[in-house]
Amino acid sequence: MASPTVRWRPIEHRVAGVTGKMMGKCIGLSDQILERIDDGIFVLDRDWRFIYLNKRAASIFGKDPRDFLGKTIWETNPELLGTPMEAACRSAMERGEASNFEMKGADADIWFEIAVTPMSSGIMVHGRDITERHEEVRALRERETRYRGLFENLHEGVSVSRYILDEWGEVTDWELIDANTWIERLLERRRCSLIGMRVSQLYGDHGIPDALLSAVREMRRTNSSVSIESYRDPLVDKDFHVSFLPQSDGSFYVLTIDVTRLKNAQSRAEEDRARLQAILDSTPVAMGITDINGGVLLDNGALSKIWCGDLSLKNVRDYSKCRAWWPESGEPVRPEEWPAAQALKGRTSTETFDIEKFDGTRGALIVSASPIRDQGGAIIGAAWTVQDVSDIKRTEEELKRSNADLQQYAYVASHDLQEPLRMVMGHLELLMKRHGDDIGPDAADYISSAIEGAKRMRHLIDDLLAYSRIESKGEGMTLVDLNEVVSNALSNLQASIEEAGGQVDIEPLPTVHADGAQMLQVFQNIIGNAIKFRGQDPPRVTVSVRRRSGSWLFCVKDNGIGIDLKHQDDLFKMFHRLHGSDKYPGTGIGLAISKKIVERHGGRIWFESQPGKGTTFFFTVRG
Amino acid sequence: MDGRRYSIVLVEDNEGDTRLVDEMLVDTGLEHDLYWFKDAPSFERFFSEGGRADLVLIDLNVPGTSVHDLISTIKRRAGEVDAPIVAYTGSSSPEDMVRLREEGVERYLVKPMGLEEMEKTSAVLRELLLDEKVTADRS
Repeated sequence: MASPTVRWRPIEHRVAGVTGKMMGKCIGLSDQILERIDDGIFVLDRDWRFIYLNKRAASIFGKDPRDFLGKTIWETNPELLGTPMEAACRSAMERGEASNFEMKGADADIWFEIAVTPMSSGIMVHGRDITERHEEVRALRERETRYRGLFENLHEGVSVSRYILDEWGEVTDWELIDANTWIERLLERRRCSLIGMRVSQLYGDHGIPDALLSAVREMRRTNSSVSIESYRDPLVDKDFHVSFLPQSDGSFYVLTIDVTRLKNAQSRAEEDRARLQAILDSTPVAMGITDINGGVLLDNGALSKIWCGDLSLKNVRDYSKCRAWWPESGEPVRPEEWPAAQALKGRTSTETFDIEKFDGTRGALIVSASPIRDQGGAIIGAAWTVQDVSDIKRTEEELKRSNADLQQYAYVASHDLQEPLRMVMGHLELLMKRHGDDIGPDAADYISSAIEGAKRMRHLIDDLLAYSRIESKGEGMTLVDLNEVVSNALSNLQASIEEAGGQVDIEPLPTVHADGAQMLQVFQNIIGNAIKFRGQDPPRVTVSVRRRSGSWLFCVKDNGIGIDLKHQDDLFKMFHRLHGSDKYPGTGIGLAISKKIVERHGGRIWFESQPGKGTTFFFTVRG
Repeated sequence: MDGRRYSIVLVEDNEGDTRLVDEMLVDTGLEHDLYWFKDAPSFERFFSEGGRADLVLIDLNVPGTSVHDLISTIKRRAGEVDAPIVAYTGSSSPEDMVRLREEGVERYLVKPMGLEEMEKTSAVLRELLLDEKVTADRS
């Protein structure tokens, strides 16, 4: 603080701007200075009376300078009593001790630096407004506290270092000046042991990682911040993202972010992606996506394998490169008819096309596509799959052909077999009719046996014909009331039921979508068998039905001779018989026909039985 | 017995079937002449040369002539010949019957198998000869 360099005589009435009495040039000059400076200055005599007070001091006290004339400070400013000001004044006045302190003004927002100086005639008090300086310091402190808090509580590592250069001015190492608690925790060292430590010491035998060293060198050379996206730190075995920020004073900041989890997640995602890609690459189904013009953006490579050549499809027009036909009509598939093109118009579709591959071979494809939309629902492309079904289709066609051949064979065979049989039967019977009496009993026996054989042959042929007709013939599927069907079956079987003294109980039956004539055959065959293969007791047959997940399950239960379960499969084979035809007549076609009919209706047929304990036949019909 | 002599024309390639038809005609108890032709052209020639018949039986499985040609022959002759023309078929399958009807053949007779059926067929032949309006049926 500036103390007055001029000594002045104590003059009672020398109060600023009041007396105006000049006590010499020198005094006049200092007066002017004193009146102009921004510090408040006043002088008290030994009786605490003001002998000088400048304008600024008066304005600090908030009074007119004249109010102080001849008054003691304790009269004019009693609020100072009991303050550090009083203590300092008294100590200067009584013991001649100068003092310096800061004090708040009457107006709480103003701070003063006060200097009290003893003088021979009293004391001088000098006050300087330090409010501004005080504010700055406080703000600085606050900022410091705030940043320190940030620094310490960051979930990233922050450290400050200083370059260590070799004799050629190249960075060889750096020394830690400061580090936050994150760094302390990471390195498991106290800050006090870290500060002043060189990085080379920190890494020890590992040596400073090259990535770090070259980044620091680059930062210093370019004087701009440098980042390492990710590096694996050998010391703590973690992945970090590190940024180096140069400072003007030759130090630099290092920001360290732990990206280990991120890296792990990334590498997991990459592994997943690789696995998915492997699956996509190995699947024979071609799949991919197109852009809005129908150009293929992405595919798994199977498409070119399917087509035996590379396809470069840039838009829907390019689809004409793929030669394809509609299987039913044989019409060529137009580019805009491909499902991928349809998908761009918002339609999801699946089609089967016949194709000619680039190597000239014929084949078939199943092609599906659906639109891809953005978040607003606008179509931005199509996702598609293409499956080569050439082999499946070929097999299917071969199977169909061979089935048709077999059916034709059975039909023709039975037709053509009828004719010679007609000759045999017709003429043998005529022979018996016209000449039975002339040929003698032995010959008549032979002829009877031949006629019997021919009759059985005829039944077999009829049955074969009936079996071969199941697929081709049929009234087609209609709604059929099975109550009616079964009652017709019963009336067809009436004679044999009555002859056996049998009883057939029928539960109410549903109406199903079926071929009525064929359903009649099934019920008649199974109920007929139940009557035919009866035991000692009169036959008792129950027909019931249950609903079972999308189909009807029919049960025909009897109390007959039963069947060994080992015949489960054989029983339904054509002309398979378990008994001699002398005991139980029949060709053994009934269950084979029933099975074929049931399967034609999307159902299954089987039985449960025990020899001697009756049999239950089950069969299902869709609907 | 009205003492009339009936004339029956049979188009049939099989001699055995022909003999059986003859036997059935014998069983009708009617006096008759059976004219047997092995193919369609010779049968047509018979009519163009002024032959007449009370009943025409045509086997549709005649070698060398398609079923369709035979049927059109039957239809064409049906206008000229004053006699029922009946398809004589070895098939008993319902879809064959349906096909015949779709081709416009109104009358057919299934070749009988065995004595029992022959006797029934014989009765049908008798009725056909006695009353032309009786529609032939496979029964």
